[in-house]
Amino acid sequence: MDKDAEKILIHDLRNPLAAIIGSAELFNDGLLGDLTAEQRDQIRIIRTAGRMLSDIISDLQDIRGLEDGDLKPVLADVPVSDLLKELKWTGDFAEKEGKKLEINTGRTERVLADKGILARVLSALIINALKQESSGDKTLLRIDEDKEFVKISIVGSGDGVPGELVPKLFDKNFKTENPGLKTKAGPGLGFYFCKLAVLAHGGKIEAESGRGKGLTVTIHLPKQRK
Amino acid sequence: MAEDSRKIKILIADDEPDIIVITKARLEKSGFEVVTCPDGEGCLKLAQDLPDVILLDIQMPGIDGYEVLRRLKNGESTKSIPVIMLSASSSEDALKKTLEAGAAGYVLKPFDPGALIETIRKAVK
Repeated sequence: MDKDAEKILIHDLRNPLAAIIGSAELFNDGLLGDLTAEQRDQIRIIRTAGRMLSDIISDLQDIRGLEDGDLKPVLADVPVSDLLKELKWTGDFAEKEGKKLEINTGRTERVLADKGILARVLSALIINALKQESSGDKTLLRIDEDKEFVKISIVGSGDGVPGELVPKLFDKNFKTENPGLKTKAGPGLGFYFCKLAVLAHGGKIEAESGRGKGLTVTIHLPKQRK
Repeated sequence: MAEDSRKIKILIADDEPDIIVITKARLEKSGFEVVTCPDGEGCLKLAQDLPDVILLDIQMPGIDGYEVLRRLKNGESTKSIPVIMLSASSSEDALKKTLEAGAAGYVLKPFDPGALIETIRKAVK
């Protein structure tokens, strides 16, 4: 697909999606009256699925921008508390799925990042980890730091990824080249977006896994502007 | 700017009826007064009633959002009304173009309701 057609497609997808999410949020926020527990669950499904679709559309657009060098993160000192607000919906998703998302931010209070882009990177990694999770396990979002980097890890507890495939996880064509990979969700184009976004921050992204060991992804973000 | 004793009046111009319905409902439930129109011509006409802020879609049939913004900023009575652009395009060009033309903000669809209201409150301060 050429660039212009891609732009039109992205534009045309956003409007109906804005209507779906906006309507679900009116119900979810209780602005249209009280809902039964069952209705609340259904609305949460619509809202969460809408947010996921919205992120996929943004990934498609931003992958192009990052590849071409047109999109550059606007770095600012982002309070970790603000970042967690942006990620709240992933907690809702975990709750809906009957799974656990634990957050441990340690002593880190701020991250030098583009808040919107980093939130999308972390959402993609958390949702992927939650989808891999079996009942009774948990996904952990952990933040710590050393002298040079803030390190954000998403520690999964699912089946993991075979060790030989780990170095290729963030490749653009990972999913199409490994169609037989037996995971419940598996990283798609979203992981490639994560790699490009972290590199554009001047950082690096790493993965560790092995069959039955769960997948841990760690992002290293520089503490100083480069 | 709106006085404390009355509601902030918002004019929404968007050619997507569903977006109008949802945004209007959200803003009215949050205490704003809302009037709407589906195109640029309607926006220029209703802007003469001097709303406190205008939410303006970029891509509309007839006069598009860029041209509406230009005319509002060139109009003696309307140039001081803060205009927030609503767009389904996140291109940096679109953002740059509207901010340079005098827009007070830029909100990407699908928008976060809290962020939209925060942008509105900042614009009318």
